[in-house]
Amino acid sequence: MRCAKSLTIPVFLLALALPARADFLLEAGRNTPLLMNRTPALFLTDPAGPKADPKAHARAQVDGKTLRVTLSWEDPTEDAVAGAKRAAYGGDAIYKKPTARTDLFGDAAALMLPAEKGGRAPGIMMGDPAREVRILLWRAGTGVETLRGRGRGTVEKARNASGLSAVQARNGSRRQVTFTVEDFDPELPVSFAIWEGASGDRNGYKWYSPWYLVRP
Amino acid sequence: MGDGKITRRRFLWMSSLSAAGAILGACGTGKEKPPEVSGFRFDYDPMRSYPYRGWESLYDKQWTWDKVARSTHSANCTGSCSWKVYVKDGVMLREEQASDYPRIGKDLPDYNPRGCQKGACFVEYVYGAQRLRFPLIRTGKRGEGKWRRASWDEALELVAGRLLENVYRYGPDTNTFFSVIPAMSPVSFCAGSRLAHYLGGVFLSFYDWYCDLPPGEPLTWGVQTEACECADWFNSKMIVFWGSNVTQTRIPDAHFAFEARYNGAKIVGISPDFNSSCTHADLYLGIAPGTDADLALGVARILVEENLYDGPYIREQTDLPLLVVEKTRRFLRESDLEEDGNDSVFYFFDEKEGDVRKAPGSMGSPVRSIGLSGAVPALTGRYVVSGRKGEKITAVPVFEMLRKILNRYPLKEVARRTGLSPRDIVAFARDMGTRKPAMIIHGAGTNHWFHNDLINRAIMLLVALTGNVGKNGGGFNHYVGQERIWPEEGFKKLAFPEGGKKQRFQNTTLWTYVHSSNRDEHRYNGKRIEEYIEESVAKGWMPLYPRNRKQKPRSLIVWRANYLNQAKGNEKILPSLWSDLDLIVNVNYRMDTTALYSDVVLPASSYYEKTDLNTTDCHSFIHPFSKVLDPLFESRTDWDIFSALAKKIEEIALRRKLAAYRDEEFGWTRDFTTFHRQWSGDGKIGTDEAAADFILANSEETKGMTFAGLQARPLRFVNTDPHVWNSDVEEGIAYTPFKHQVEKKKPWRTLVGRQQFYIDHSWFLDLGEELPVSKEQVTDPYPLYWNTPHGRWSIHSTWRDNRYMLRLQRGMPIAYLNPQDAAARGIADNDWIRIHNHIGFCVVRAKILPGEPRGRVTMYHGWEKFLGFQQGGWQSLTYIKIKPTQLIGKYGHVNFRLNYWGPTGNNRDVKVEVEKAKI
Amino acid sequence: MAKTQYAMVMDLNKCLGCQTCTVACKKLWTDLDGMDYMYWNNVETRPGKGYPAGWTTAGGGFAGGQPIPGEIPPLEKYGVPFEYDYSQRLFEGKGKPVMPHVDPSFAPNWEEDVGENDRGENFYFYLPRICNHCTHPACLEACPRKAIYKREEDGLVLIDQERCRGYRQCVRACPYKKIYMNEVAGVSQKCIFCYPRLAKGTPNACAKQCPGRLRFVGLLGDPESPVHKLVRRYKVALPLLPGKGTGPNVYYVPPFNPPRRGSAGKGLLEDPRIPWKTLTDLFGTRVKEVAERLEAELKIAQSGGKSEVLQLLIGRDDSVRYRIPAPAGPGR
Repeated sequence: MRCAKSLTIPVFLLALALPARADFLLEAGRNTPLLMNRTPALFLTDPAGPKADPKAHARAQVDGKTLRVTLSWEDPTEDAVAGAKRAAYGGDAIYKKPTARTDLFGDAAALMLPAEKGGRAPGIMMGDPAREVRILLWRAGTGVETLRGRGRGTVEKARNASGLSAVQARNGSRRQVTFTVEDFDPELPVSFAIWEGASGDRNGYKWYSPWYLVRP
Repeated sequence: MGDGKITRRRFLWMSSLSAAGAILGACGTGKEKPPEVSGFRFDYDPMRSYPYRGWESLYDKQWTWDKVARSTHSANCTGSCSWKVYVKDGVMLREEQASDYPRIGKDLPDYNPRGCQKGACFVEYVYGAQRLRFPLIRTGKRGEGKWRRASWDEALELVAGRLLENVYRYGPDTNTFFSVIPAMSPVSFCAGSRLAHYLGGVFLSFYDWYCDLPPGEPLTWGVQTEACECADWFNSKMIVFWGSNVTQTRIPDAHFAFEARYNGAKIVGISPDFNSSCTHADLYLGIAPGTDADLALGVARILVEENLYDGPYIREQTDLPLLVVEKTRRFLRESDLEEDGNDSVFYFFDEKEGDVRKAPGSMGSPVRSIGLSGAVPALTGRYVVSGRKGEKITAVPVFEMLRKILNRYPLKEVARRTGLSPRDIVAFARDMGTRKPAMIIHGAGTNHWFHNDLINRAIMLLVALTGNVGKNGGGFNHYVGQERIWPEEGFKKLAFPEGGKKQRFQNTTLWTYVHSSNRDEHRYNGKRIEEYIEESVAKGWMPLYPRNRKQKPRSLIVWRANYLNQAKGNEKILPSLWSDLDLIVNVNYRMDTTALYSDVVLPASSYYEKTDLNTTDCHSFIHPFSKVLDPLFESRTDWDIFSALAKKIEEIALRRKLAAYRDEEFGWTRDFTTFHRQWSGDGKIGTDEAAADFILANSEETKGMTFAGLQARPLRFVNTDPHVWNSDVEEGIAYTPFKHQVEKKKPWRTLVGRQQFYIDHSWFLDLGEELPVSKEQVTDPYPLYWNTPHGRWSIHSTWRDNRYMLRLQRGMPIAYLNPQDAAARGIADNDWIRIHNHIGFCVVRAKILPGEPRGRVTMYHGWEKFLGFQQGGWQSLTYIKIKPTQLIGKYGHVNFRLNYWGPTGNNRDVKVEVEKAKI
Repeated sequence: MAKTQYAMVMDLNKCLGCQTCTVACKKLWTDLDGMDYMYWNNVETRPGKGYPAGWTTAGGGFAGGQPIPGEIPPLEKYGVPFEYDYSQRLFEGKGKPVMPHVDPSFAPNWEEDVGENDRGENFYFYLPRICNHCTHPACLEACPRKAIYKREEDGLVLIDQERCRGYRQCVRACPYKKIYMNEVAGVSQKCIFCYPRLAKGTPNACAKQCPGRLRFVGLLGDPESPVHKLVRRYKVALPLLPGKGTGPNVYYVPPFNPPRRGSAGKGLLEDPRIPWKTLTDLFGTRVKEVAERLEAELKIAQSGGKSEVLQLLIGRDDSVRYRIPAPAGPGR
């Protein structure tokens, strides 16, 4: 049976079969390097291969019920989609915002955590039918979105977006996104994803981490 | 499925592999079952069904509106299309063709949808940056674009004050008014014409100035222009696009031609470039520019040689059998043969009775019919008659003279001059002679040449020889310019209430030539055009205002037109005529070039904010403009603007206690203290709707119609006024002209009472143009013709600055070059180029076009001066040339009449050179 | 597979190149934020680059059943929509010629009327294009979220605007490049075959507003519909780029151009102005046989006879050109 060209499952993924170990911990206040995986190509028509490791770090802080975690990574090119740019001329109703790039994908980063406590961790690919996840997605150019998911292809905008926010900054060639979750329970694991716009990252073409536990 | 196709099952499998992380990462306490591998909720096949279709209401909601109203566009496109305009949240969103013209006949395709891409985006002008929102008074130089906002009162006071001052100080004929094409919006036209009328101002012509008037029609048929309505194309079996690019210039009607083709017509496209209409032709004749008369006369010769002409028809309906005195080359007249004989009675030789007889139906004939009553006028032979003093006069039929002319056009020579293949010419001629009915759709491509009258007449000869004029599916049909105001009598009464004889009318070509520094250095029969002009004016053939030749025009009011941008000889006009004018006023809805170069700009409502009517040659219906919304910003309808101006004139006259002005030219004492009352027809025509109803009530064509009654759908004219038109409107039948002549034997409106190909005016005889001949272009020593046709992307200058249109072109003015001409000059596609001659130059970009002939550069016309040109404009290369033959008057049916006869503003003979420009 | 399938037939011998269809669609559907460069309906001159430029070689579709990799065209290939600062020249006295805000180098109709030269003769024709609402849509296959679907009641292919996340796998997969990314809304968008109008019994805007009257709309399986007659009975309408394997449902009556100079009366077999390769490249190998049959029909009509298929193509009024049933199926 013919399938996608490069479909190798990195050996280290097998390590994820084990329960959460001390390796996948975010010590509060410590800038922890993250283990980032890359989704393999799905379709025959997909562009091939992983890109340079983004050298992602996360620093978590828990204040009472509020989790603040700053994700940072190497982002050599600032890629943003047009989002809210104004049209060039005129303020009348007939002037509309233009599309500036059709083939550009923007940089983005996400924090994912289970919607509810208890039980096993949800499937790492946006949850699974039994275990819903909340996703806090920051996108360059358009800002923050909160989503819900029950597995691949099921992600949709969350109706209730309160208690979640994100803000970004740049530090030289590294980008930082600080996620804030206001009703955080430290029993909930968190996971991160990074999209590099210049590489055409979107959807499942991304860097993603396994589940991490936050040690306050 | 081992064929490698992506199926749902495989998709799931592969995803499950990548979702290995899902399995591996999901293990938590180890007590619960691992999650489902397929973390997909794709329990549906999108090829067969979809469970989340609720979103589809998004687009349902987009196609909704709060209000819809019917209106149209007043651009001089001949479309006269009825549109529905949709309003949402108080904003006009879009428009769509109303598409509800009633069916004329079951077999005829209907007129729907009627409207083009330009009409479909007019809303942009309603709200765009170029929309005029309040009165403006110039603060900088003319054309600089510096303005200050003024109140209506201040602006009107300024204009009215100056107009009155001009009347008393310099004479009423120093106030000049320019507005075009009544048919496209007669109420708006009349608002200003009535003001001009009561003010004693000069009203300028447009149809001849634009070079849209085909002089051949007034000369040969005694009419302005009469064409069949476009549905009649479907009745034809032979349609010739001659200098007419219908796919671009008759967008709403072009389908009739291509549907006629499927119904059995042959299509011939005659044009130097392989244009878009020619792509759908059965035969394409890539003719050398300006040689159309050669081709027509070559074809006429084949028709005569091969006996393909309609003998009985031309004997009755044309002057071809009328006798011409061999020695003088003038018609044989009653005054030649009888004491006190009539100058307008003519003769033919009756083969049946064997003698020379008076031809019935001419202007001097007591018989008001051209019916021959069994006579058979000879086409050949030489006949001798006794003159008044007993002398022998030898006369021959016009047909004999014509044959002599045609002998100069043998096939080989015609092929050489036109660059066409003899095989193609013969095929064309034979089809013209045998396929019936046959029609020629004639356009500006041929009509804009200096010798347009000769070209018209030569081409008209073909449909006359073959008996195709006055028959459904036949004729010479010229649609350039929407000049046909069907309800003409009602319109005339509204436009110039005291009558045309009490109105100063002026041919604009002559006016512009005389009052600007345009000079034509060519000689015509050794004489300069100024000599012809002086003779014509002295003899009263052509009017020239101001009458006092030491006086220059002092004011110019322009509305519904873009005089400056479109004027030939632009470079000469700006430093002379334009700068000599003391007051230039523009009434407009957008800031076009004329507005930009004016002193006072008054904001008019757009097409969707006023009440008016619309008619065209192209169809036989009438339909309205309606106020989709009331005039926006501080704009007002044309009617209201001129009403306010009239009020202001009255107010100032009262304030200054002006004594009445005695206008000697008409014996008219003008009391300006009651000006508004005069203007409004003693108060009876106060509103635009009243004006519209006036036109409808006072015309045969619209008897019984009211403005309100036009809202439901376009209405067909009930009949025609026989004083004005030459056919009836018949139910179930498309309208074609001249049925009164061909079927009812009514005389043609010419001196000889027939289609008159022989013009024996002394100037025509001197120039050798008594019959149609071909003549060389009147041109300049440069290598490339400057060709500026009408195209699909604008109606003249309207839509030239519309973004939706610009985005579907190259965004700015371009000129088309043949690949070899371009290569020879090192010019590549999209290069900047400088187009120049001794008059001026312009800088634009080049587009290389394989279909463009060598020796010619084309720029579709009407580009606004302010858009894209790094220098100059599209009329920077042209200058005004007047043809002597078009200055004649007092020749039977050939007399000056506004827009019916007068020198045309030709421009095709201009030549230029092109080179790469440095930007 | 849809039970019934909407289809459109376009007679290229009636196309005026006026772009009224383009503006009709633009003003109705794509006049909102992020949509300025999109023309769900476009008309391009062929031969030529088309819109987006070079789309015929931008990949997508299938070959031998396999999906072919395709491009996401950059904005330059669609043409950056021109904007103008009118005010500076017209109202503020700044005096600069009103120019496009970018240097023009491409636009959706850049090569209008250009065509090509073959043996010294120019030839060209207009090709209006919309989404083909394919029987086997490559876009539907490519969407990882299965947010593109084919309506079961009429075969229209739609992108769920709520579930689309702008991944643009569909843009890559479409061989006709008829899906467009809206950067502002963050979703991919395309021709919807005017389903809200069809639901009310009104034909698509591009069809109803076409002054050339060259479009016929109906259900392929309906024997009374003009599309069924032209595609299945008379077989004079051909799909565009059939080799791309998606089964498009927009069909074309192939174009003629007049004979070359000096060839009056010669037929398409003898000395055609349009080289056959130009037509077979676009419409496949059947085009030659179809064109010759049409030429024969035209001869019948022009010799005084009546041709059934040409009488249908005349399309005297709406009732001939459009056959839109009341909506069946589950609806929404």
